[in-house]
Amino acid sequence: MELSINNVSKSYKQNKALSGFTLSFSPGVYALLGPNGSGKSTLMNIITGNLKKDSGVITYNGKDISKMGMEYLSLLGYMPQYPGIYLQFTAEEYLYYIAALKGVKDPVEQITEVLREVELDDVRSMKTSTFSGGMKQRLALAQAVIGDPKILLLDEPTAGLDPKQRIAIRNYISRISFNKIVIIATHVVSDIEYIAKTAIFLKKGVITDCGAPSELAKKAAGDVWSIRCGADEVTAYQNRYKVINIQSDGADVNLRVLSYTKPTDNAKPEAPTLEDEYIRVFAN
Amino acid sequence: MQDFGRNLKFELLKLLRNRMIIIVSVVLLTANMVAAYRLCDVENDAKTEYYAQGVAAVIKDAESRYGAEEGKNGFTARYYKMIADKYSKLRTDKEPEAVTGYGQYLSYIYVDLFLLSCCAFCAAFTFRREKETGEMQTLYAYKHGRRGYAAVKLTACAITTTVLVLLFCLSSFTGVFVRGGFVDFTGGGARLQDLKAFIYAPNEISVLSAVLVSVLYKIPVCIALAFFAGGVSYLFNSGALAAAVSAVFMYGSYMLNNRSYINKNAFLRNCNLFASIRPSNIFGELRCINVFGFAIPAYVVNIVLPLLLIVFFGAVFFELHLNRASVTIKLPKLKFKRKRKIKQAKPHGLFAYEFRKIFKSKLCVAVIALTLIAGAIVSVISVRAFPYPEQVYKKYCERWQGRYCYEIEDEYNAEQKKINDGFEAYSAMRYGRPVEGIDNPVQAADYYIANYEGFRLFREKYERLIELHEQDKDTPILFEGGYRRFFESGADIFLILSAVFLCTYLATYDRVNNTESVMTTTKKGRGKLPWIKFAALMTVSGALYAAFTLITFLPILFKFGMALPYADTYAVPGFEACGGMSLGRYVALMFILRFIGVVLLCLFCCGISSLIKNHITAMAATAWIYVIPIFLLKNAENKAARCVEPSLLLDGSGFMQLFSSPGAVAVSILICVVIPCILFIPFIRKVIKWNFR
Repeated sequence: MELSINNVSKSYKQNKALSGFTLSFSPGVYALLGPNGSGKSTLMNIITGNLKKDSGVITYNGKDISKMGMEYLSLLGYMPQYPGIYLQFTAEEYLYYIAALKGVKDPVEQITEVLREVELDDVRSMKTSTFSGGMKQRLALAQAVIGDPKILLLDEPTAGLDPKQRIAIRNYISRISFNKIVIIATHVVSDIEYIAKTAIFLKKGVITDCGAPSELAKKAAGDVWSIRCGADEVTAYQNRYKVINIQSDGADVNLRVLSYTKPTDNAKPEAPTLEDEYIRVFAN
Repeated sequence: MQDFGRNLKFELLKLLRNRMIIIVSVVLLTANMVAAYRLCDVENDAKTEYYAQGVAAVIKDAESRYGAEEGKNGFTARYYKMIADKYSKLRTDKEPEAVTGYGQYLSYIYVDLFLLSCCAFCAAFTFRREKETGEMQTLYAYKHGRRGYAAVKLTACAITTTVLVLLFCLSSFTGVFVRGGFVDFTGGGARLQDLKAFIYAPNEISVLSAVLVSVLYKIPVCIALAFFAGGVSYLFNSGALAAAVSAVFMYGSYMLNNRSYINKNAFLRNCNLFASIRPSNIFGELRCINVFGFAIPAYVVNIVLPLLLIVFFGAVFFELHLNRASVTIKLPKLKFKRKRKIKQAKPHGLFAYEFRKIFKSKLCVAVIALTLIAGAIVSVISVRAFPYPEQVYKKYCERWQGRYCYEIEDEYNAEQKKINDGFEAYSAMRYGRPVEGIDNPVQAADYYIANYEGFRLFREKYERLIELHEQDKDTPILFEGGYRRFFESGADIFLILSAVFLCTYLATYDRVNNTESVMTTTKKGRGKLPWIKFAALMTVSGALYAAFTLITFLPILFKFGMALPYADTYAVPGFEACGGMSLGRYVALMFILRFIGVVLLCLFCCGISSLIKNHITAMAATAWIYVIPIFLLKNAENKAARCVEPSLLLDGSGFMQLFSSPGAVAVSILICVVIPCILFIPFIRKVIKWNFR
């Protein structure tokens, strides 16, 4: 199972959203990381067929997806960035409707299981108009998962969720990704740090870096420092270095700083994370 | 003050940069200009001698009433004295040709309808924008987000409305001008009374002044209504509900203002807001309102009332904004309602889910129910009107039903003689002449009184049938009242509006709920769903149309009957265009055409909904396109003029009446069939565009 994107480009008038994007996806979780406007959602929409690409080819197992038609659509599960839900339907009805649209033969068991996984089992018969933002988010994830899609595209799936739900959803995605290509677009680095097989850094529609999160994190090794200083020195450090974190501790302040050289004598080297690498790449 | 000016500038920029506002304004301005052009009657019949007689009659009546009330010094005496004095000063010259255009401009009333719609639309946008974009909480946190915000909104709304009034008046003027209404513009200096529609005007002003004053009168009314529409749209959490409340108030009042029972009541006639917008109300005959015994001219009330309402609605908006008032309509929970058992959902087909989208919406169910109730009420009211002469006429028709005119000649002549004898007896008894040759004159006179009007109607029909017989178009005698009423029932505006609401609701449902991007990534969501949606909305609107037609049809059938379906359409005067076709076939064809009309309406709605993302805008655009021509061409003498009505196929009978004019049929097919089909292309593209990637 392989989804290949070859030299795909997309522009909105003068703005280039994607520029010669080329990558192959095999089963596993892929994380698309990048600042706003880096082209993550555009790529998602091109893969789903909701947006027309300007150039390039997308193939699935060697077949051009534009020639696959409905066969390709039956492989897709998609959760958009701003998911809409029919407010007059109950959670269960909504999922049955999506199952009908996906042509799922016997959806009852599958829907029961998915609702349990996203912790909406208790409210399955309630109208979605009574749902909180987090519940709607989980329902939107549930609809994407129905029909056991081979390609699962999730655009910021954990937005608006509390830490407990975030971990639950993260683990659920990880669990179902064994025989699927899961592509997650997000800003929250910690969400994908431990579940993504590959993290893709996207900047202005171009891949700047790509690899396993732990490997990417290592690229920042030696560049991350912790400094303890007085509160009046913070501004001076901010002007000279990229400060990742500022933690006030009474009169003194702990700073986490990115620097290619040792910033001060009292600076201590720190173990880098994927977030450090993200900041390092996108800081400038 | 500087901040106020800056905020006002931004508020106006928001309006100017909104594409929808610009499109709606341009469309309505153009429609207004076309309507002014179309309805302008530049031929001046100027029957001035009748006006002179009319003025003389008014003076005579006022003087005699004043004479009767003289010495009492009450309101009535003062009122008639004022009328006699005012009208005595008037000259009643013949209408000069140069003022015809001004007269046409001042008499053109549909500008109000277009203008009010545009003002309400812009006001709703101005007031509601921040609420819809979720910026209200941020606004409240800022210095000018409270009182300053309300003041800026009201000022921006007033400025926009004033500009719109000027633009709409200009567009009406242009419509009349293009039609050739103005020989030259020198007529502006003539007296207002020189215009035939304003011969009774009590004020000595020039025509040009009247035109300017009529524009100035429109401004406060439109601002008051815009403040009202804006305030309502601000108050309600649901934009659709706010639009519905505003529309019911505005168009309901507008329609009510035109009803005869309002016109009979002096207070309602002059003290309603819409009275001030129409020049005929401001400059027409002198009307006064009794205010503590003082006769206050209506034109004074017409300017004071809107100004008071502007202050009132403005103050209400201030209060609404400062108190963060908002309304969510919740249906009251009935106490006897049993607790609903939670049922587990079951999987259904896609078609069923499309129905659920409609029938799970309280608004849609309410619209369907209200349409059917309104249909039933209108139908019952219309069949109740069965005047006595028509009942007698029906009796005559049923007496000779199914027979041909030449077969009943003797019986007809005998009846004619009986009526003539009755007339003789009646006139002899009335003028005290002796009655000769009639056995029972009282009975004969009673017979004449009871049957004359009905027989006269039958005589007209009989003579017509003789004419047809001479042209070898024999038609049996039948009572055609039932057929006529059914053919005239036409395309009801309620029904069209409801069908448009339902169609656009379903067609835009996925997009409005932001689920379209998910639908299009599913197997059936791209290829099959649009067709299922189309089939569902065709079924719903078709069923609604069938139910409504049945509600209209059955009372007519039971009350008037629809006999002899094999008879020719020549039997129904005014509907002979399909001569050679039986009435039964005519009715069947009417049903078929109506069904095709429903399909085309669905095509149109789907097409519009593919182009316009918002439900309310898609609905408003379709409703305007379908309903406005009905208003404008309702009283057109030339039936062929109706060929430009997009709803003509929904009427069925209206379309068949064009059959005598092939050109009109071609135009009608272009408008009713070709345009919806072209508009449907974007919808089809949505289904098949996968192949274009």
